[in-house]
Amino acid sequence: MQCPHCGFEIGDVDEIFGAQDVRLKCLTDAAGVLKRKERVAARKMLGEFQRKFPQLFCAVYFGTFKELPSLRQFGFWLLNRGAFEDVEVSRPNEAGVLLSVDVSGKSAGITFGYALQPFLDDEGTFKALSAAHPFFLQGQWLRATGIVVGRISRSLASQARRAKRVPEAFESVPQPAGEGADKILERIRANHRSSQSRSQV
Amino acid sequence: MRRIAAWGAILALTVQTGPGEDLPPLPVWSPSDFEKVEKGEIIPGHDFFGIFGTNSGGKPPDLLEEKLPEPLPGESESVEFSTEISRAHLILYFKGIPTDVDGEPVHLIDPQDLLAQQEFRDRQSFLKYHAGESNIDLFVYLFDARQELPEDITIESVYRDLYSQRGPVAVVFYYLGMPERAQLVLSGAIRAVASEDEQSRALRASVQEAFEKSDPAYQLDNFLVELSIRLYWIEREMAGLHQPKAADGTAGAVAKTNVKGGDKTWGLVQAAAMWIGILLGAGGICWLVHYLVARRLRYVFPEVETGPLLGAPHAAGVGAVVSFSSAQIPPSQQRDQVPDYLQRM
Repeated sequence: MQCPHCGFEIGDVDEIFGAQDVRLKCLTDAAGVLKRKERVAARKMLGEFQRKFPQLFCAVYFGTFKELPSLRQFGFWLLNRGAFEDVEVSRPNEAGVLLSVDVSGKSAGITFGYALQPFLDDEGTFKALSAAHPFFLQGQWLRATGIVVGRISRSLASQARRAKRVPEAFESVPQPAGEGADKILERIRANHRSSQSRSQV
Repeated sequence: MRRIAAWGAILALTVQTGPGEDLPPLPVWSPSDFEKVEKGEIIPGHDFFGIFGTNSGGKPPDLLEEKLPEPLPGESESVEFSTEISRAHLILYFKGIPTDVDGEPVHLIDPQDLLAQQEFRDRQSFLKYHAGESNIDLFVYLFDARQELPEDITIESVYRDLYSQRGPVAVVFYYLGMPERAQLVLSGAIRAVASEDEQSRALRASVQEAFEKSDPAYQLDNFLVELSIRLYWIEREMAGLHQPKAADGTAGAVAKTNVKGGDKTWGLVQAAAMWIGILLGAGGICWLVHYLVARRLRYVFPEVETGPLLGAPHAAGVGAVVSFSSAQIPPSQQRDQVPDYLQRM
């Protein structure tokens, strides 16, 4: 399935990171930046997130990537291919929030499942990352994680309350019946090709 | 005569001899005197200690040759003082609170003149001083050691009749020479602050202090000083912990207390501490309630109808990325706004 705008598909990142599912836990410290106590505290924090939001889960990945083309691509791939062992099956990956941190590349990103698409946006997630920016700079990973998770939790709690009151505000206009994603994609591509040919003329 | 001269020489030497001086040789018995000493004709020291003459056989003379006069009939029986207080004195004791020429109340009531005038003035002066320094006036009724009051007159009834409208007072019945019989009653306002135990402790300590002296007047001195100290501490409790208030119906209203500067500060500190404690307690309770509520809170998202997201199983949303490579540049300028995957690899 390709993006109608750019033609991106999961296969592109599978070529980089692998097409097999990856088994991991909610807290993965592949970079080894957390101390034992910090890992315990981080797990407790993520557990609290799950307790607060019975449908969602939050995962944190600390890694060191030598030549990572894009942290967004990695987050996208991990949330699609990751099999989180310590997450109940009732919480699918589409309801997950992933904080991925490239310790050597000094960048952090948030990726969230499409079930959260109505409730989270880039602006909200960037604010959460910005709040933790000083601690990322100082290498206080646990504290930075705490701030990101706290901000995301507050934002989600607020959206959950609002969604309960006015669920219509979060509903997007449904596509015409019978028109599937493939058809939409074909239509967009066709338009795209026709505009190109027009410009060449 | 020679013996006197010899003893005189010894005495003179004892007095005049100083350190470093050469001592003259000691006197020696002449052979004739020594012989008399051995025979017992001369007794050494007889001239100095000769009140028991050798002729009397060494027995002390009968110095009290005059015999004591014969006791008069009836005098040999022991004198028993009356334990009753005369009616005239009772009236003087309890007709009201006596005042002096200036109209000031007399704090030491002694119509029987059990104390000498100077003793009375000293103790009265002390009680007056105490009244000036303390808010609790101290009134002391003096009785003789074994005197008994009529049954209808008790310290409580005296307090009720004479002092209940007066404010914080301490009334004492003191039996001169028998401090252990002393009785103490405090006004209602004081009783509200000082427990029964504390009151009895104060009285016991005062009695114990009185027993430090043997003279009855000095015993009274010690008793009053100790009681005054104890009343001072009770007064501090009154001023610091509670504002004076009517403790019971019989005690009546209590005169307002002029709390001194130090006590006011202490009171303010205590009030501030109390309010801080209350605020902290309330804050703690609020926090606990919030914590418990927050722990129970669950956020469940309702089902909302959204359009298809290209049929992707997961992770349709792609969130933000921030770089933290530079501490000089704000996060907003380190935001990679263009998704990288738009640039095809």
